[in-house]
Amino acid sequence: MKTILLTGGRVLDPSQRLDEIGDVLVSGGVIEAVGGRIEPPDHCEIVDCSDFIVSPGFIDVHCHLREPGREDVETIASGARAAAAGGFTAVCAMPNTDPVTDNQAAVGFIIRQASRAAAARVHPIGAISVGQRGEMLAEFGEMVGAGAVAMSDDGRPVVSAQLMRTALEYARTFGVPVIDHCEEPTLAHGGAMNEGIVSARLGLKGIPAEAEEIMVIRDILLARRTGGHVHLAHMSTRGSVELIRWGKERGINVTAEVCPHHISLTEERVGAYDTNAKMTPPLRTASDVEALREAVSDGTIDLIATDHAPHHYDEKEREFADAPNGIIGLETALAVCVTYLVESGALDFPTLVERMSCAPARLFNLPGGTLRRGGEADITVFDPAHRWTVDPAKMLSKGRNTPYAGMTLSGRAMCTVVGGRIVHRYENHAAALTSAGTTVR
Amino acid sequence: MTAGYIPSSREYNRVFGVSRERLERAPRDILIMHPGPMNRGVEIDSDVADGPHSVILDQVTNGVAVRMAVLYLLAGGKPELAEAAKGGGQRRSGPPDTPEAA
Repeated sequence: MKTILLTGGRVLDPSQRLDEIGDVLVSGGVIEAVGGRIEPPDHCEIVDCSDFIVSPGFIDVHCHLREPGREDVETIASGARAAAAGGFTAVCAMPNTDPVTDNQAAVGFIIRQASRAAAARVHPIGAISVGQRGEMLAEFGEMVGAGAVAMSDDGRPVVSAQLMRTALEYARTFGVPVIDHCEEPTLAHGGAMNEGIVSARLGLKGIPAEAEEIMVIRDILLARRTGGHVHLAHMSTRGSVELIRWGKERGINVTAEVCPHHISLTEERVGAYDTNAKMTPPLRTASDVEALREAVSDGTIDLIATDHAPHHYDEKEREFADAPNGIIGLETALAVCVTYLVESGALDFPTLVERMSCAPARLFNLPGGTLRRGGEADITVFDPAHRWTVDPAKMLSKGRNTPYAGMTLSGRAMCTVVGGRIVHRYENHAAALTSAGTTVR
Repeated sequence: MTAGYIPSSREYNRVFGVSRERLERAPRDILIMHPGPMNRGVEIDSDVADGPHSVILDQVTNGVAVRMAVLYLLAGGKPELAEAAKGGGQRRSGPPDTPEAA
């Protein structure tokens, strides 16, 4: 493994309150030295990071890599490469695959595929219930032993409060969070977008904010009862923010994430029935976006996660109500956050790095999230000022379903280092696209 | 089917069960006790239940006598009459094994 010297960047590591121009030396897979000017050792690869930010690698705790089951839409390898291109050194794969990741063998499969891909790390998330059917608890202990880092039935809400209670109690044994997709199914049933004036105008059945908020408060109360760690996925409403704040003020073990699309777009983006603006929870109102930006700034929302959900273009090309939910996010997350959070003044760069790297590592107990000496060398180098226009054809993900197509955004990952190995360089992006197109396993 | 508190007896065994491997990590000489009935391969493995540290059979034998004594006292029996109640050693010499004997 080569020794790498990242020179002259703004080294930003909130985990040790570091923010200075300096070098970072990586050797043997770990961070050897940080800060100041470092004399390059022999045979070392030098990466010029002037004008760039050098931060602990971004970690996405919420993505859908579709393998096993829908390898035509995404594979663990294509997802891990897309993640690296987006500046993520690690992602957590949701278990709603086919078959469902609800046992140790399935968890082991993901780890093996991720190791073959050799791009971003992929941490499996195990299902809460067998087959994600919401009935019987899955084997948390076996899955954690095999490498699962959290439990979730994401894609579906945990409808049974009793199952959620049991899951929170049992997950405590293994020290892993339980992630809930908060959506009360009878209220959300048949809904295609946010319930409001826009859904009325478009003639689409809406999903009210309360469908999310009812489950948010239920989960917070169950976390209070059990002492378990509940992590609330993709928060989308002002009411949810208020409820999480209420829970945190009382010391309840609740954490939450927000997706880049929920802090940048509103329900208006559905426009003329654009299915690339369809996801659950749906895009909400300007007031919700404002509340979410405040929450991610003040820490009520702990971290930013993509909910990367690739679909085939032809699956999305159908009537809005029948189109599948979800958009891709790994390769646009950084730029959307820089453009809509930092440039808008809601967040500074240290807080952005905290929400995209340090907090996910800390709350999910993952390697990375710090540039501390001796730690795993998972590092993201990004250019905060790089302006680029989103072109779905230039994504490494197999998915093309993004609502940002054609938009010009700021911020781009220039170099991604995982375990001391460079897995993405911006200048090699075109070559990576070609090889991704021809690599078939 | 509704959710139990534990996903499966297999996982219970793997996470919480007393196995020989776990026993070997114990810091000092220990006694293995179990009130019975045992679920072999669930909370306790057979080689532990029947192994050198096990006092389970003694525990069960003693448990019968203790239960009998408790029942005798609860039923109003007097400790000083207990010997006589055995039948003065005329009918039998071992410990009583039927309620009538008390």
